[in-house]
This record gives sequence, C-alpha cells and structure tokens, in this order.
Amino acid sequence: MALTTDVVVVGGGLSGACAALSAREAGAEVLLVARAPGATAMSSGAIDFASGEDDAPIGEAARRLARTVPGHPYALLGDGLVPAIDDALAFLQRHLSALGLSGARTAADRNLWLATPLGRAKPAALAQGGIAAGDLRNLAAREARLGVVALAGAQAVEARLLAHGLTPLLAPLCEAVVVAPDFYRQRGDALRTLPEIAQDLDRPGRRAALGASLARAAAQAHATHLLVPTVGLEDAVAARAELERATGVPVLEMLGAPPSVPGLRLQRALQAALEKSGVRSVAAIAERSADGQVQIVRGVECDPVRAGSVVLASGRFLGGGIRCEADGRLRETVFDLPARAAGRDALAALPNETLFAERAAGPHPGLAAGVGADSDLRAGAAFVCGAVLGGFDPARDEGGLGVCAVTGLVAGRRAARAAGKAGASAASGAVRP
Amino acid sequence: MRSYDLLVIGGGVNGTGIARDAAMRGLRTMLVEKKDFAAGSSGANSGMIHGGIRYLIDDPQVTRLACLDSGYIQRIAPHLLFRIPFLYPVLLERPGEPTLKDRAFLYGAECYFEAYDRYQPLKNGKAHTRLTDGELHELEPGIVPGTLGAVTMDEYGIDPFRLCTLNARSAASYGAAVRNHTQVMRLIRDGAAVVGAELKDLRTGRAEEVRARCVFNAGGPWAPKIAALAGVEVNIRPGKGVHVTLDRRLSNYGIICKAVDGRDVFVMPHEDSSIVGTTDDDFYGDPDDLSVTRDEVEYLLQAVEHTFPAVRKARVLRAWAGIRPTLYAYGPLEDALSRDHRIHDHEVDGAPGFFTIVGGKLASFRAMAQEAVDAVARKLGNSAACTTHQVALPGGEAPAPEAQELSRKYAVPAFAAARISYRHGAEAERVLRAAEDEPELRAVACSCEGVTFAELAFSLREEFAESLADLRRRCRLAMGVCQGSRCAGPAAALVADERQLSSEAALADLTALLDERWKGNRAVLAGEGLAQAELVQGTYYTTGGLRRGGGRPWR
Repeated sequence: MALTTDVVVVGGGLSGACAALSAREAGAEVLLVARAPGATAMSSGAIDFASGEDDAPIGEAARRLARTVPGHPYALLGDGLVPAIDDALAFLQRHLSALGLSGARTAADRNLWLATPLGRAKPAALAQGGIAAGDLRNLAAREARLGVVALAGAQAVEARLLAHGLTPLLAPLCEAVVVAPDFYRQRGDALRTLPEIAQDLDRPGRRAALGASLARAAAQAHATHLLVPTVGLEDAVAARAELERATGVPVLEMLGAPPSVPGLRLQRALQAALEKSGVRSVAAIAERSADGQVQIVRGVECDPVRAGSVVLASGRFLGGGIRCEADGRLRETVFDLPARAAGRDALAALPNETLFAERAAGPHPGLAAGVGADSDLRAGAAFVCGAVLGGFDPARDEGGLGVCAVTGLVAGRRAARAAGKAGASAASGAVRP
Repeated sequence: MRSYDLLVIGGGVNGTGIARDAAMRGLRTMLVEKKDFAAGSSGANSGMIHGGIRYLIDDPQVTRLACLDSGYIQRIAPHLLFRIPFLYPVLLERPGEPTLKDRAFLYGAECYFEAYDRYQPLKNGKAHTRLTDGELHELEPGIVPGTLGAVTMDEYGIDPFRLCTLNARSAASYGAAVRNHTQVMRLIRDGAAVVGAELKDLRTGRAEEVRARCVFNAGGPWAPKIAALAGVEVNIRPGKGVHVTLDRRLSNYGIICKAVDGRDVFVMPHEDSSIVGTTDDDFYGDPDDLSVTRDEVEYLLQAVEHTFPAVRKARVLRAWAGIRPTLYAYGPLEDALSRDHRIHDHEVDGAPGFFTIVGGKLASFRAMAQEAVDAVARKLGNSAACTTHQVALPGGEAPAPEAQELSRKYAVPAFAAARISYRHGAEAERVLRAAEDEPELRAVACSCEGVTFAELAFSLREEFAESLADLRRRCRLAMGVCQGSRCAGPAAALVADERQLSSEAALADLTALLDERWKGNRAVLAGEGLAQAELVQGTYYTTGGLRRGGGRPWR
C-alpha cells in the first residue's frame, strides 16, 4: 500500500532524527524510515560541533572548519552557520531533555573537556548529564580527589589507564585515583561487558547495592567525586541522582567506546522524541523505485512512498549510506547519487596518500566520502544531511554529531518548506494508510 | 662482559630453532632479535608445515626433509598443528566436456600425488584420493561446476608466531639468554675472528658488549646486512610473497587454484580466517619497508575466483608481505628457485667463528637448526646429541586440556578456553591460573580471537612480550575481523599496568599497533572494511581522543 507524507526521512541516527523533528516542528507530516541503528548508537555520549587547538568558542571553531576543510558541510551554510549552531544547541536540549544534556548554550560558549576511555581530553559542546558533569576544566580548577571506579573485568583494567592519563591533566589541585568497590565479586562478574553492567544496574535493587558499595569505597579512598563507567542504560538522570544520594559525592559518568551505553541511550532518546513529536517511524529499507520515488521494503513487502520531499540521512560507511565496491567505485546506496571523496569518484583499492595517509591517525579524506550538496543542502531531488554528506571527519575535525544535528535541522526545515510548496498537487487524492 | 659459546642473531624460526638446539646441547647461548620473534619472514608465510610437493621433481631432498621434519614438529608441538586436507581440482576449458588432454592431465596429476604419498607417512598424512566432480562438490560446493574431478593431499597448518616464541622460551628454559627488541650494532673482532657483538636494547637505548666463541647469522632477508657487519658477502635472491586474509573460513579444505599466469595459488582455512597466497617476485627493496600493491591483491583474488568464485563474497581483512631468503641463482624464474638451504662457515671467507644460514623452509626448520648447531658444535668440540626432535616444546608435553573443562574450572567463556587450549596446549591451565588471584584477567579482551586478559598477562610475564604488537603475534590480539576496534584499548591498559608504563608510553604503543593494523587494511579498503575502519577511527580518535597530546588543552 502506498504511504503518503509531506516529508520522508531516510535514516534514523542523529541527523535523520533532527531532520524529522525540525520538519515536524515546521508543520509537515513526517515519515522516518530507518533500517537499523548506525553510528549514532555507537557514539560516545558527547555531541561535538567543532574545536580548535586554542580552545576557541564553538562558533569561531566551526567557522574555521568551514574555511579550512575543503568540502566541509559547515561551508554550505554560509553566514547562517553560527545561528544554525545556536539553533541546534537549543533544539537538542529541548528534544533530548531526558538525557539531561548539558554544556554550551550558544555558539559563543566554549567546549566541555571530557575524559576519554584512553585518559585523554575530548572537546564537545554538549554531553549527557553525568558525562558533562565530568568537565575536566571544571574539575581541575578545584581541590578534589577523583575516584575512577574500576567495576569489573576489562573495564577495571581500563580504569587504571584512564586514571593514569587524567592525573597530569588535573594536577596540581585535583588528582585521580582508582577506586575498586566490592560490588562485582562473583567469579563470572569479570566477564561482564559495559552494556551488560548497564543492564544489570537497571534491575531492581542493583543500583542501590552498587550505591552502598560505592559509598564505602569512596570513603575509604577519600574521593570527593566518583567517575563511574555507567549508571545504567535507562533513565540516567534519575539513576545518577540515586547514586549521588547513596554516596554523598558528585557522580560523574565516563564517555563510552563502542558498544557504547551512552550511544544506545542517545538512540533511544531520539526514538522517544520522534514518537512524542508525532513522527511516524518504520523499520525498513528505503530504496529508489522505478519511477525515481522512494519505496520501502519490509520483509517481503514493498510499499511506494508518495512524499513532497525527501531527506537523505543514511550515514556513511557504518550507517550504510555510502558504499565502496570492490572495484573502488563509490556509491550512494539509496538513490545512487554520485559520491566522492577528495574530488574523486572512486577509492582506489590501493589507496594513495591523498585518500588514506600511511598512519592510522590520518588524515584520511577517503573516509570523509559523501555526496556533497548545494547551499540548500540539496543533492539531486533530495535534501541531504549528516554523515552521508561527506566532507567532514569526526576523528580529525572534532566535529561529528554536531555537524549531523546542524545539517539535519536545516535540511528538515527546508524539506518541510519544499513539501509545503509541492504538497497540494502531489499528495491530493493519495491513499493515506 | 658476558661471555657465551654461541650468539644467534635473528629471532625467526631458524634463529630460535638454533638457539633452542644449542642450549639443549649445553652450549652457553644468547639469542638476539631486533624486533620480535617471527616479526619477519617467519610470521609472513602461509602458516603451514607443508611437505613441499612442489619440489618433488627438481629438489626431492627438500621434499623429503620437509616431510620428515614435519613429523618431528608434530611430535614436539602437537597442539599447534592442525590438519588441512587440500583439493586439487582439474578445471576444464569447456565445463563438463573433458578432452583427452584433460584426462591425461588428471592422470599425470594423480601420478605426481602418488609419488608424494611415499612421504606422507613421515608426517602422519593420508595418501591421496581421487574425487569425481560430484564428490568434489559435496566437499566444496563453491568450486566452479563441471570439473574433471580432483586429487586430494594432506598437509598441516601451524601458528608460526607461536612456534618461534615456543622455541625461544624453550631455549631460555635451557639457560639461553633471550633478547628481543635488541639489535646487533657491530661485531667484535679479534684479528680476523668474530668474537662477539655490541648490542643495543631498542626500548631503553642501553648498549652492551657480549663475547661469543661463535656467532650465527640467522637473519633471513636481513642476513646479507648482518654478514656485512663481518665484512662478508652473503648472496640471496630475495622473493616477495604476498598473502591476503579473509574474514572467515571460506572453505573447509585448502584449495589449489590456478593464477592467470599458471602459477598455483592456495586458499586455505587458518584458525578463524582464510589465507590466500602467495606471490613470488624478485625483491630489491628494504625488508624493513614492505608494502602491498593493488595488483598483487587482485592477482591473488582473481586466481582464487577462477576456481572458487565465492572468494568475492568474503571481506578481505588485510594484505601482508614477507621476503623469502631464497638461495641465490641467476637465471631461473622465481618459482623455479631451489628451496634448499645452505649453512656457510665464514672461516673460508676470512671470518672464523662466523656462520650464516640462508634458504630453507618453515617445515624443515628443526632439521636445519640441527645441521647449523652441528657445524658450531664441531668447531667448539661439543659432542652432545641433538634432541630437539624428541623433547616437546612448551605446551606439547601432554595433550591439551578439554575446552569445556577449562571453561568450567576457570569461569572463562568456552570459546576463549578453546583458543587457549589450542595456543597453549598442556600449559593452558598455567595460563588461566593467574585469574584465580586476579579476577579481571578472566575477562575477554579480544572477542574475535577469544583472547582473555589472562593470556595477555601470561605472554607479558612468561613469553618476552613487551608491546601490543608482541601480544598480537603471541595471542592473535587484533588479528580478527574487528582488527583491534574492541581489544586494542583494553589491552594497552593491561600492558601499561604490567610494564608500569606512563600514559604517554602506553598510548604510543597503542598508536604503533593501530598503525601496523592500518598498514595491512589500507591496501584492501572497500565494502564493509571501510565501515570497520570508520569504527576503529571512531573508537580511538573520535571517542578516545588519541590524536590529542597529553597536555592540558583548555585555557
């Protein structure tokens, strides 16, 4: 059966969700088609827009990216870039309040500096509540003793490296020590991975038990703050408050590496926000139909979609929006739009230095492949946002999810406007499911 | 100054094998390796103890020795060997329509394999069989249809990294001084005689002089460079061999395929992956700086595709290269070069006390080491018998414990227990015992290859591992499908802990491992491999902040 809508969004990560939500706010009826969670669900819990070596305000750092990184999506927004960042910051706070997002309020603010699992500092404009509370700039400015909590297994081993790396960052006022609570003491507990620990803490009574154990360990270590690997997957705000009551000290949460608990939490919060806003989501594969429109495939069913406008937010290699065939040819997977990296339409199977550097640290323009867009964020018949746009590389630009939010927001609004113009003629007489 | 009977230079299979043999005969022995055991050619081969059927006509002594020694290697390291039956399909130009020539070819092939059967009992291999096209496809349905059938042959795979590590450990247990990450800077002469070396520990920068009555150059592709330190010329004809690793066991059997130029290329199951190889091309570059070209990868994949089209469905994880230190000859094509070995006593070149070994095969390393140590022993007046074919390598003394049992007893996942049992044989319990006192060692660091922290700790404590790259070689850390996205960070934390490294040093080690993995991925990036690369980048650079230095970045 044909599905009719004003705007169809392909992709359910941060950029797709922002596009859907902003199109909805603009009054459009929105259908979001997502195949499966992608890179957003593996993200760290921080939302990074831009940063510089010099700790510049976020808007200034973003303008620098637009100027210096060839093909960066920020450049497409022109003078609208900083207002769009302001919008995105407020928009995310509004729609993701369940995560207790905190950090920059406007593009004039500076980044948070967050402890990474490797014991480095990562800049980000926003982070989920417990993570943002661990802003290192803030911690280092006071006399404090940060207890890095080693819970079990691999996480306990990693906690030592984290504490070790934080010590010089926090000196001289604040110091980091490893705190090992007597919580997971069964033989099999060492095998728990972080997502499993988070799930365990969501079970009745478990968080209370951890809180009691943490309270003892914190007192013993004279810790003034506790940095825990996770407070649980669901309702992190309440969970953190519970642990703070139990321990009597501020409880901070670590960033997550894939498979990341904060990433899963972000994905869930987006889903909840979409539902709340009245965006209709379907789990399906979107593809181009013979007549150049969108059709969606669920199991053995294939339904055409009649939409006023289309937003492509299908991600890059992880999300599946861009694919490189064995012969090196780059392909956008839904509409077969031309995809490029560093101006080339193929990634040579033996990548030369212009596409992939010899060192893992890059730069790797080949990994920033995408479809590009005009200043209206259009490519072909679609509006494009997020990683499928290409031109940005979170591993080096230190702007990843933020770019997805900004472009998603803008693409959604424009798609809604375009659908409004096209709407009356296209949608009339169509069957609404 | 420390003084030894024998200084062995090179920690490949020859060097570690020689050191073990010499130490077992009571020679005071030192082994030095500038990188790590099996970091060169010994770790860049097909991972097979094979009998060398290819040399049957021109070099039957090579085949015989390889088969004989394969049998001995099975005896001393039974846990490390795994049987790989090979299929040799006979493809037809017009599928299903064999010509007389095709039938004659199959007949000839069968005669050839029958001749090889004579050597199979030496390595507990089964005699060849002939399969019809139907039988062949029952075994491997992915082979192109309409063949004339196939001939089978029995071979064995091995983890060559562990083989070298175990030799080095065994040498140490017999009193040898074992130093990896230690380079020979200079040879010490007394008149013409080579009487020692100046060593440099590449991690600490510390220099040391040692005396030795004999010095053995087992440098493989680096042998000419090491010989030059003694003013001696050693000539080899280096041949570059490229392999690619696929993300899964694509076939249950090894399959012999024909490349576009008529050469044989194999695809073979190896642990949880498949290996495709190899090329053989004259190499004129620096063995410390190997890279793989697109042509080489495509040549190998095309060769397999011709017989086994499913290879295109697999994800190519990485491509890697090594250099064969083949005996020098001017004239023959690379493939036609002899795989025989030679031991040079450089007394005739005016450098008494200095020896070099070149050529040879992984499968006959033990016999070559025996011959090498015989030459040294004669010179030193040592008459002890070689026992390396009788005494087990560490872990080979008794049958490996059953994985389920290990899993229950030590509360580790069964899939990890199975890998520990394979890699460590009778030592498996020793590996896991540390987890009794340090519960976090039970955790799985690398779920692709089933590596527990206990195994990493064991290698750091007992197997001369100093870095993540060393752990990769000993435990297959980061060698699986995720290429280090999950394990490298946690493992770096363990290394830092065990070695009391600063955060800076630990992250430099992590960067080195990621660089090494990237080097192999970079040559084959496509399809899902790019998603994996994006995930690695996200984990270590976006989330991990690894590119940022350790300084305070805020104002």
